Amino acid sequence: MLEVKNLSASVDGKEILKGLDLSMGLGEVHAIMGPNGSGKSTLSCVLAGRDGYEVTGGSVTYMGSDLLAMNAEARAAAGVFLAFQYPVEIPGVSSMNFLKTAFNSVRAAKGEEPMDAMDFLKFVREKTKTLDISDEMLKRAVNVGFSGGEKKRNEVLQMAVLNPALAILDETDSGLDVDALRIVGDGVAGLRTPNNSMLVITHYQRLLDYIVPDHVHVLAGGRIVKSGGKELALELEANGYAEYSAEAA
Amino acid sequence: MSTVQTLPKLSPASRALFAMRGNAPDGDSDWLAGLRAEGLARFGQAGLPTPKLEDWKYTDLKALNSANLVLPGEASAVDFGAAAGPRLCFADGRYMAAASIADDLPKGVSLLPLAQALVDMPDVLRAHLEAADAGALADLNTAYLQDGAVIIVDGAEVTLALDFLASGSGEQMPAFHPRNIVIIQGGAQVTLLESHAGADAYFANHVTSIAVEDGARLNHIKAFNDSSDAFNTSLTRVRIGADGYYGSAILDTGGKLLRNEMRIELAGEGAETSLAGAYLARGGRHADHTTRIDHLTANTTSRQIFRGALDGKARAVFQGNIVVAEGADGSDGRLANNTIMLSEGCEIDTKPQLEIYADEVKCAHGSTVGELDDDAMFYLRSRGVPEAQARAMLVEGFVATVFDEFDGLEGVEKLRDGLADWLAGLEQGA
Repeated sequence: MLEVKNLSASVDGKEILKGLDLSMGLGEVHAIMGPNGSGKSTLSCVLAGRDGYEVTGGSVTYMGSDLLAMNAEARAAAGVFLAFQYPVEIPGVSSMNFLKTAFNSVRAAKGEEPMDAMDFLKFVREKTKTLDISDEMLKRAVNVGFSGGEKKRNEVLQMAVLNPALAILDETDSGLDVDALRIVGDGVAGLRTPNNSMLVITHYQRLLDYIVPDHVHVLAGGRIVKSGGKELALELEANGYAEYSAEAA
Repeated sequence: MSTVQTLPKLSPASRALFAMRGNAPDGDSDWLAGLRAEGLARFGQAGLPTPKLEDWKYTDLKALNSANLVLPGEASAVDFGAAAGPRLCFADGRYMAAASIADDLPKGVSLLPLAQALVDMPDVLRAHLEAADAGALADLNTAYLQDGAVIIVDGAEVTLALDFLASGSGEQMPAFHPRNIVIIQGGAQVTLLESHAGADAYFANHVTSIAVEDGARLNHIKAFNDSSDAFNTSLTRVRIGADGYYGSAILDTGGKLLRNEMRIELAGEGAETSLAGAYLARGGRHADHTTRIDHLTANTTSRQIFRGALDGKARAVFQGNIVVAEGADGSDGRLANNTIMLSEGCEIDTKPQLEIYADEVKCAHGSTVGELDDDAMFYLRSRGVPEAQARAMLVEGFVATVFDEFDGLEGVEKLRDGLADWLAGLEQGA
């Protein structure tokens, strides 16, 4: 469902991704691990369509379409979702309004009618139960005054509501204590189906206890330098990234 | 009365406004005729304000010079829409009895047109009319003193509305000068809804004098949605007694040029005011919000927040001044102005000021000017929200919060709707 071929990208003229290859099938979970500065966040931004990232070579094919030709909102409508490492605060826009607008925008892009407010509220409440998100939290402005854990739970809620085919989780485990990690990990794991795929970008193995990957890749120096099964993540946890950092340099 | 020829230094618009007084109705009591003559004489000395005046540095009325300014003609039938409660309606500044609802008022509530009040209660009004220190536009207003609203509420709790509609004729630009007087006393609690709208070109020059007496409360909800060819200069003067409160929520989405000027005196101990303004401007609009708050007495409080978004070649001006008089210890004044620039061609001139002559005060002011947050834009778009709608959502989130503290009052939902209407135009690239 996702084919990344020889992808190179730069930010502010500096090349970050240098010929990255990645192939994901439907229903698969891939983890990308790597040292700081290896290009993990750049990869997530390029895949989600953030402005300011210049693709200098290669291609990304998503469900048979040229992903790089689509703008961010079109990618979302096509089922690509990025869970942010640092979810953005949006003063004055309630979480509920934000969710409803996003949900109905995606429906509109598919030519579907918007869901009415009452049905949507019911729909969201079903999703919030397992994520420990209260109605009060939904009334608050998006991420404003949320704790680190609340912000990440809110990301998972958005993912649950938008039901993406490809979810990219950018260091979703960062800044979470053990309890918050469990809620987020279980939340994401609960969304896994044979009809969606997940790209879990992380520095540590701990999130992968909840979302067990089919494939683990090491990203270093802007390229995938090693791929393996879930045991590779444990190996990295034990030995660190020293050998890959050296390789990249 | 002087003649036009004796005033060679006046601009064409000032001369026209001066000269048309000769054809305006008069013939009331002597004191009123005298008041008008004095207003006209003062206006004749000064003319319309120009950018040479410090207060008018960023707002220029010179476009009026090329307009064909006239007295309003006979008002045609105007649709003011359904009334939710007591209201006075004005078309081109003229009182419209048929559309107004001013009977069956609760006890302690007077709502009547100025012309009638001048006959019924001249002594009550005199003190509120004879102010000569409010500038040339107020003098011009006095020169044409004729119509407007008089509201006196004693001890009651009530919501009242003033609706101003106007329309030019393309060739001619009617100029009119409503004068409103509002007196809230005896612990009354009043919500006053004021709306401005219209079509084509006109020049509306409003003066509203408000007295909020000891322990009374007034919430003044104003919607400026004038036509895109209209000029509206609106001066609101408020004097607040001990433990009195004046709040005002203002939405400004219309008019070629709007000057919303508010001068507020916190005259009694414990007096409080809170102003929340939102200005939205696109095309070649000019939106000017100028405030001056005088803390005249100890333990008085003022809050001001004005936020706006500018697109196209729009220009906004914010001048906010907090003046704390000698001896007004314990004064607490805060002022914030924040503007989002949506285009390269727009402009904001923001001038927050503090003048403090007392020793023990808490005062703060600040202003920011910026663009929409890239991170927030990407966040919304990554969730599927199209770019134009994402912009509108962020602007709404940024601006609409100014109204939060007025939520629950009548008329505030309408302000939010008006804001949403303006933003819908932003989505469509209007």
